[in-house]
Amino acid sequence: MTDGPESPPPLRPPDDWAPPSVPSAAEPQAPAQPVPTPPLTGQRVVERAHPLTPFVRGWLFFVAMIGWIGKDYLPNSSRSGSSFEQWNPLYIGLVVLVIALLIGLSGLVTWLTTKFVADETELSVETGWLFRRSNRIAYSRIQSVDMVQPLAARIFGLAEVKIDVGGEGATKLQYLTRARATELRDYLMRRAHGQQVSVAESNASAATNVLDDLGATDKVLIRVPAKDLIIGALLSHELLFIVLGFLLPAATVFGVGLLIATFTGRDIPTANFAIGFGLLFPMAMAIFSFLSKRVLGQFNYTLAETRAGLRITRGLTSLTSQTVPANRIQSIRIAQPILWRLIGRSRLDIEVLGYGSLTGDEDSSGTSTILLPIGTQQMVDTALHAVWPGLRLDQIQFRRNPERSKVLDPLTYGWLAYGLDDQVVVARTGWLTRIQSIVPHARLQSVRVTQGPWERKLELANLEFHTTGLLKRHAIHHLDAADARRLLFDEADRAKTARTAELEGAPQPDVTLGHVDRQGEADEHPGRAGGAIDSGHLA
Amino acid sequence: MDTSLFQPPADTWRRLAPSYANVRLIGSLIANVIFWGAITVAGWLLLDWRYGVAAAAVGALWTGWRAVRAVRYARSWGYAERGEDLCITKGLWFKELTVVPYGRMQLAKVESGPIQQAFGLATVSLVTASAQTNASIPGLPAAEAAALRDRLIEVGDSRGAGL
Repeated sequence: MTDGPESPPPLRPPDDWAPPSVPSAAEPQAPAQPVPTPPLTGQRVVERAHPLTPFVRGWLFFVAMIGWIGKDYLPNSSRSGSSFEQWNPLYIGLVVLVIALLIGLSGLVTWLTTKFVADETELSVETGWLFRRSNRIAYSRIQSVDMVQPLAARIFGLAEVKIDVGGEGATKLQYLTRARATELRDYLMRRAHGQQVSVAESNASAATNVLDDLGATDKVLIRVPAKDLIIGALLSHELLFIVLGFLLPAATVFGVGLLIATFTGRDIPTANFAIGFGLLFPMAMAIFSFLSKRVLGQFNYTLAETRAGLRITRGLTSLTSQTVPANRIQSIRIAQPILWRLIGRSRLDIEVLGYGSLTGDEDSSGTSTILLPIGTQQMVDTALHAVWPGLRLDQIQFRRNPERSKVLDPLTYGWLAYGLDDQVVVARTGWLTRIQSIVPHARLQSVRVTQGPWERKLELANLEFHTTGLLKRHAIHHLDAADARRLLFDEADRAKTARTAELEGAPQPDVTLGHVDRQGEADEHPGRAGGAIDSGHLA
Repeated sequence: MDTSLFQPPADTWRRLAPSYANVRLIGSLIANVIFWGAITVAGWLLLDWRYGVAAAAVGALWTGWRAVRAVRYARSWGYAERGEDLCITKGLWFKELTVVPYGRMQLAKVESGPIQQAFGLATVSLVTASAQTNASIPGLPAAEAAALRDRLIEVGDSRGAGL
C-alpha cells in the first residue's frame, strides 16, 4: 500500500513467499545461525519464528514420553505386567523415534510456513501449509501487546508476543528470541500509539534481566513483596472455601463418631477418627498448592513506567510482561474482600477490550485484568495515578444513599455511595467484597435507570453505567429516584462532552486520562464547565 | 407511586405500532400453550386424569394472565430522541430507561421474526461497544424501522468514535 509502486496488492501473499518445503534463498536471516536481525524501522521486514519453536511447543510431549516409558525401567518398579518390560527395547525406541519424527516434522512444516511480516502499516502473520492463513493486523487497531515466557520457552531464552486487537482472540507470535520479542513489542506499542518511530533509536531493552522485563530507563513504581501475596492469599475467599470444603465434612464425620461414643459409652470408632483427621492432610496439601500457585503466578509483581507505557511483569516459572494501554482502559475496579479490610489492602482491575472478563484465576500466566494483585492504599493511589494522572479519587465527595434504602440494603448501607467529578463517576457496591467502580465519562457507552416494585414504593432507583461490560456491571444501587433521573441525563451529556473534548483536544486519543505527560491540562479541559453543576449535586 | 422517573425527556414517548401488542400476545400464547399442554398431557398420561385437568386449569389461568401482561408490556415500550441521545423505556414491574448517545453507536440493524413479519413490523437495534446497552426498539412498521435505522446511522456517522 505505502510500500511504493513495486509493492504487491494487499490481498496477495507477499512476493517473497516461498513454497513451504524450500526455504527461500532471499530470506534475509538464515534460520539456523543467529544473524543480527534488521531493526524495525517501518521498512518491510520478514521474519521467521525461532528454530527452537517446534521443540518448545512439543516439549511437554517429550517430557511426558520420557516419564511414561522411563518409570517402567526404574528399579523396584511396583507396577509389573501391563508395561513395556516384556517389549523389546528396540521396538519401543523405534516407536518413540517415529512419533518424535512425526511431531518434529509437523513442527518443522509449521515453522517453515510461518512468517511474520512487518511493514509500514500492518503486521501480517502467514501460517499453514495445506490451509493457509494470513492474519493482518493494522497497527492502529492494536489494543495491547504482551510478552509471555512459559517455562520451556524461558529455559531457551525465547518469548511469545501476544497481540490483541479487541475482536477475536489474540494473535500469538511463537516464539522469538527474547530480545527480538521485546523489540517487536516496543515497536508495536509505539505504532499502536500512532508514533512513526524506529525502535532501534530508543531501544533500552538491553538492560533486561531474567526476573523482570525492565530497561535501564524504566522506573519501578510498585513491587509487591511475596509476603503480601501470601497474606492476601491467606485472607482470601478462595482459601476460606478450601478450608470450609475440607473442615465441614471432617467435622461432620468426627462429630458423628463422638455421638456414637457418647451413646455407646465406648471410644470413638477408629474409622471416624481416621477419616476426620485424615481429611486434614489433603487440606494442608490443597492450601499449600493454592498458596504456592498464587505466589508463583504473581511472584515479583512489578509495575513500572517505561517509554512505551506502564508495564506489569510477574511470575516465577513463567514470566508475563504486560504493557498497559492507558488510553484503552474503559474502567477501573477497586475490590476489597472482607478479610482484607483488616490489613487495609485492595486489588485493582482494569477493563480493556481484549483482556476478557474479570480475571478469576490469579495464578495463571498470560494477560489478566489485574493491575495490582494486592496493595496498600498508598500502592493503590500510586497505580491509579500512574494510569490516570488526572484522577483525584480522594477529592471526590461521596454521596451516601438515602436512609430509606436501609430496608433494601441492611448490610451494605454504610458502604453504598456514589461520587463524581468532571472526569469520572465512582460507584460503591458490594458487601463481602467491597467494590468501587471508576468509570470515566468519556468511556460511557450508555446509561440506564432501573426500578423494581419495591424500589418504586421507596422512591429509589438504580443507575447502571455501561462500558464494554467485561468487568462486572457498574451500578449505583438504590439512590433517590429524583437524583437518579437527573444523573441519568446529566451523565449522558457529560459522556458526550468528555468524549468530544477528548477527540478534539489532541491527535492522541487519550487527552483526559491517558498516560502522557501533561501538566495543568485538567484545568483547561472543556468538561470543567460541567464541574460547577456537579458540585451543586454533591452539596 | 412516583412515576416521574420514567417520564419522557422531551414532550412525549413515541409508542410502538398498536399491532405489536398482537405480536407479543401471539408469542406469549404459543409459548404458554406448548408448555402447559405438555404438562397437562404428561399429568394425564403418567399420573391421573385429575392431575391433567388441574394442570390445564392452572395453565389456562396463567396463560390468560400472561396474555394480559404481554399486551400491557408491549404498550409500556417507548422511545424518544433527546438531543443527540436515543432514550428507550420499557417494563411494567421492573421498569427501565436507557439513554444511548448516538456517538457510541457501532452499528444499527433491522431484524424481523416470522410473527413480526406477518404484521409488517420490524425491530431496530442500536449496537454499542457494550453488550449491556441492549438498545432495541421492536414493533416498528417496516418502513419506519428502515427510516429510523438510516437516521441512526446518519447521526452516528457524524458523531464518530464509539470506543
